[in-house]
This record gives sequence, C-alpha cells and structure tokens, in this order.
Amino acid sequence: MRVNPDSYAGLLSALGTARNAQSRATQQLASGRRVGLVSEDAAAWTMQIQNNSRSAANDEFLHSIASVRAGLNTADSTLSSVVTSLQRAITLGVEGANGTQTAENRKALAQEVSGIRDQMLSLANVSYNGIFVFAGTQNDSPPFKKDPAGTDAILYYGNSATIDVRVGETRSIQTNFPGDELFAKAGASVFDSLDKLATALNTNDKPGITSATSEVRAAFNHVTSVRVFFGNAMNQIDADETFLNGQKLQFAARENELVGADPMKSATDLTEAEFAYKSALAAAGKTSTLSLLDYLR
Amino acid sequence: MSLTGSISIALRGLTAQQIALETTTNNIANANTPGYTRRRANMEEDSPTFNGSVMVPRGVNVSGIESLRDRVLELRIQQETQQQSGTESYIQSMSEVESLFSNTSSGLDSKMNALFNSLERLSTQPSDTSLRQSVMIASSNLASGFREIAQKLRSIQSNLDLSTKQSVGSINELLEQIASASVEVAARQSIGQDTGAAEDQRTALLKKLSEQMDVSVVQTENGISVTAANGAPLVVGQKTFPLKTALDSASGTTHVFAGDDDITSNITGGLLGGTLRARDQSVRKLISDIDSLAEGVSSAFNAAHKLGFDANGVAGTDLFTTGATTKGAAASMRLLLTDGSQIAASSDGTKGSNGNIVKLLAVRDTAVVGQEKPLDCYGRISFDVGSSIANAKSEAVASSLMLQQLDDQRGAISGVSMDEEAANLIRFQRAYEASARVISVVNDLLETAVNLGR
Repeated sequence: MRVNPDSYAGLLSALGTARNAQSRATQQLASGRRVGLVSEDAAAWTMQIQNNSRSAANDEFLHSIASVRAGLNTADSTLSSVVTSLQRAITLGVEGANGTQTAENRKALAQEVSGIRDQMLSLANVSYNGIFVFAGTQNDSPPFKKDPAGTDAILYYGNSATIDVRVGETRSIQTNFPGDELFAKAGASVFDSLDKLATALNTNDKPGITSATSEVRAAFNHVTSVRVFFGNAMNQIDADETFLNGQKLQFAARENELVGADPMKSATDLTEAEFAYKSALAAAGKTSTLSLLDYLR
Repeated sequence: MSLTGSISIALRGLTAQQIALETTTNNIANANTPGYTRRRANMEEDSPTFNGSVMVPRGVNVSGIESLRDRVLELRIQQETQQQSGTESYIQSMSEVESLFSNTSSGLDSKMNALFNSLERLSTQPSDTSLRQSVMIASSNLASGFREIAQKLRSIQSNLDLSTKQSVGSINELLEQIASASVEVAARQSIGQDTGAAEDQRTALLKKLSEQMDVSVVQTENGISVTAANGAPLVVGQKTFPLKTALDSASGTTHVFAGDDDITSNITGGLLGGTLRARDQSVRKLISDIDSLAEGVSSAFNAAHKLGFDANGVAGTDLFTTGATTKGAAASMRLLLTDGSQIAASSDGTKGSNGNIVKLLAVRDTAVVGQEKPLDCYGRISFDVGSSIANAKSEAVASSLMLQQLDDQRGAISGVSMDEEAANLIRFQRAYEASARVISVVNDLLETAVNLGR
C-alpha cells in the first residue's frame, strides 16, 4: 500500500497542537485562571457572573455594616449619657422630696434639673456625619427646638419614620429610633418630666416633686429599654458580619472552583505539553531525509 | 524481420524510456509543488505486423502520460475545506465579540454590580452628596457600557459586511480563472494532449474557491459545472455567472445575489459562509439581545425611580432613556439626571429616607427580559457567545483532522515519493542503456554482415 510520502504536514500540525497546549498551560499558571475567555468554559463563566455579583454585593453589605455600626455606636453612647443624666435627675428629685429640704435648697436643685434638661436637648440633637440621629428621616436639621412661641416647651420637628438598611441578601436592620418616640413618649417623656420636676422644685411643691420624680423614673425606664434595642441591633450586625465574612470565603472558593486554575494540574499540563512538543520536534528532526536517491552512484 | 527492424525497435525503446525518464524528472522537480499530481508515462506494446504467419514486433509505444488522481477524493477535500474554512472564519469573526464578553473587570455585569453597590452604599446615608454622586457616576457608566458594547458590535458587524464584499470580489475572480482553466483542459482534451497540468491548476482553483464559499462541482461532458448551495450556476463549461452584492435596506447589510436570487442565507461554508453566519446570526442576535436588556434594565429602573422622591422632595423622574424603539436601545441609552440630588432615594419626600433605594435595588431581582433578571440575561448572552464559539472550535478541530486525513489519502495516491521516483529512474536508465546496447550489438551484426562481401 502506498503511503503519503509527505510526512511533514502531520508533524507540523502535531507541533502546532503541542505548542497551543503549552501556551495555554503557561497562561493558566501566569494568570491563575483556568477560563480566560468565555468560550473556554461558557457554563462556568456564566455561573461566575452570578457568583461575582453576589460576592460584590456581599462586600458591600460588609461596608454597610461598618457604616451602620458607627451610627448605632453614636446613638448608643448618646443614650448612655442620657441614662446617666436621668439617674442624676432622679437622685435630685428624691433629694428634693426629702422633708428636711428648704425652699432655697429646692431652688438650687431645680437649677441643676434645668441644666440637665438643657443637656438633654443637646443630646437629643446629636448628629453623626451631618445626620441628626434622633430625627426619623427628617434628619437634616435638629429635631428638637424650643417652642418659637416663647413657651418653655420643647417641640419635635422630626418624624416617626424608621430607616432600614440592607445587611444581607434577605436581611435588613432598623438603624434609627425616632426622637418623638424616644424623648417625648406620652407618660415617659424626658423633656416633660424634667420640666415638671424643675417646676415642682422651684415652686417647693412636694407632692409635685414626688410625682414628677416618678415620671422621670418612667422616662429613665423607657430610655433604658430603647438602649436594649440598640444593643440588640449591634449584636445582630456582629452576627451578620461574621456570616458575611464566612460567605466571602465561600464566594472566593466558588470562584476558584469555577474559573480558577489548579496550579498542580496546569504545571502537569505544561510538562506534558512540553514533552509532546519535544517528541514532535524529535520526530520531525529524525524523519528520514534519506531516500533511494542517496544511494544512486 | 530484419536487423534494421531491430534498430528501429531499439530506437523506439530509447524514446519511450526517455519520455518515462522525463516524466520521473518532472515528478521529482515538482515534489513540493502544492496541488501537484504525480504523473506516469503509460507504455504499451505497439501492435505487431504479420509477414504471412510470422509476427513482426514493433516495439514499445508511450500511449500517454497519466496524472494519478482520485476525483472523488478531490471533491471530498473541497467539501471538507468549505466546512473547515467556514468554521475557522466564524471563529475569527467572533474573536473580537468574545473579547467584549470576556472582560472580568469592566464588562456590563461589573457595571451593573457597581450601580447596585453604589445604591446599597447610598442607603446607609441617603442625604450624603458624595454617595449620591457615586450613584450618578455608576448609572452613567452603566449607560455608557451599554452604548459602548452596542457600538462595538455594530462596528464588528460593518467590518464583517466589508469582508463579505471583499470575499465576493475574490470569488468572482476565481470563477473567471476556473472558467479559463476549464477552457484549457477542454482544448488539450480535444487534441488528445495530457491535461494533468491544466487539471491540477483547476483543482487548486476549486480548492481556493472552496475556501471562500460552499459550492458543488459536477463533471459534465463540456467540462465542469460549479453551482452555489441553492443550485444557482456559477461556472458552466467556459461561461461564468458572477455573484453580485446589493445593500439590503431592511437589515442594512450587504446581501449576495446569484443572478436575481438572494442566496445570502444559503451560503454556509467557506470564508464567506463563516462571515455571514457571524454577521447575520450571532452578531445580529447579540445586538438585539443587548438592546432588549438595555430597554428592560432601563424601564425597570425608571419604574422604581418614579416611585420615590429626590433630595428636594420632588417626585422621581425617569432615570434612563433608551430611545423610542427596542432596536438601537443600547446605543442610545443615557442617564437623564444631571445632578445627584435628583436621585429618588426617599420614599416619603424626606431627605433621610432610603425607602425607595430598596425598590431600585429590587431591579436586581426583577425579570427585565422575558423571565430573566438583568444578570441572568447578561449571563445567558455571554453563554451564547461562549458556547457558539466553543462549538465552532471543536468543529474546526474535527474538520481539520478530517482534512488532514483526506490530504494524507490524496498524498498516498497523488504525492511524489522520492524512493519510487529513484527506483523508476534506475529502471528507465537501465532500460535506456539496454536499448542503446541493442543498437550497438545490431550495429556489430550489420558490420559483420557488410564485411561478408569483402
């Protein structure tokens, strides 16, 4: 049987194939990616698009948590000051209710209570990054102001809306507590109770002092319970953060699974391709250049 | 039977061996000529005459020089060439498209992610002007990403259109050349000459034509007839029917005509077939897919944006515009807002509300094209690109293996083997020497005969 006398065509294509495999393995090793072009593994590429998107969102949730935490911290530490001051007001009220106190003494106590009330106003108007923490969503200006009509009352200019921030694909967290609910809750109003206490102390009204003190105590209890809300929220975002960090590793692992190169495999592929290339070269080199013509004398 | 008769037989032997030697030499000389078919001098015994009952031999005669070819095999090679160059030109045409969809850092998906992430960030501080600005930038980047990809796809399409015209030009040239090669084959055939060289030339031209488009070649009494895939004649005998191109106003692309028939969709093989497949199927579908995605994403964002209020408490307006029709939506996608304060983040008109951002973020999980969410749709488009190229690549590997095998078979029949030619060289040389020797022996005999009379 006659065979194709030209063996170089086949050899050349074998060389080309080996060369291709070599450059692919080198590229995989250099880039760390198994799939550099969508046609190299269209299915994996498509899944990676989803994975990449979820991973990017995951990173963003972590960023949101950091930002939310700073706001929650501000609120919590403010409330901590509020609680301390209310405690002091209660002490003052109890002291004022004591039968041994003179009207003069009570006036002095009333002055301190008024000071606490002013301090409460500035605490209730605390802002973080230009946002007034206790103003609901009307948070671009101080929520609590003295009545412009001239009465001593403190009025709320914020709203009762809450702000929810997403901290996971299906998780969101309430990051604020509206000021009216916090400082001006009926029966437990911080400003009203302090106001009443100051007035009662000023006017030397002993039963008034007692009832005002119990109102301040109610306000104290209310604020303390709201602090629990912030404490809970912080615990929750801590848990969310741990979860998201775990997810982050998952996404990275998944990416590696989908489009990452296995260095061992790439290195083995490279060795194999080099061997194939060398063998093809050797075969090409050794292909007999002799023919019968060489023996004609 | 005479001595002079013997000289004449020996002389014919000399001539025959000489022709055979020449054929061998020509084979050796053309050992590396592409498309060359090895030749063989066919010798036969010249029919003897009879002197009464005595047969008088007349020696050898070279009846002709034959090219050793398998026409069916050559046809198979042409067909496989059409297939292979079709897939290869498709892969080449699509490689630029593929790079558009193989971008990990600035593809449409990362631009969508960037927008969603900037919204997510704005939701933590909806009144922050720099965060609003970053949403503006991300939105405008998404719009420009759509525009860019649409423009690139269009320019790829028009480049493919240009190669269509060029390819038709080279096809028409080849048709002329094939017709004139056919004329030569016919001319040589009519005077009984060897048609090998002319046929080799025509076969090479047909192979070149096969690289350009899919044709079928039929051998007829008047030479060959070459027809396009739909049966439209291209070359019949010595007459050519060149292809024509005309702009198709509906699609804005160049269509190919054979006579009055639009054969654009019939051409599937060769460079032209691959180019047309990329231009009319893949790229066209991609453009319309990207348009639908642009329109879907834009109207989903617009609907959500209109539900909210901007930083000044004004009701939200459209976020993007994509023009009046789905066709060309991606190319005309633009951000309509001019200032970050216009982003409708608020659900109640207050500055601190982020209620509407959740609705904007929900676009991520909204079906925008059919049942597909934005990233699902983009993923499907990328998958289509990747898998069609991957399929073409494996087809190309298969058909190049097939072609290599066919070339091997052709080489086994028509290739020049040096060993064989060397053996022939010795054989014909010896025969030539022997014939020369016969002449010298007869010469001696004649001399003896002449000297008898002295």
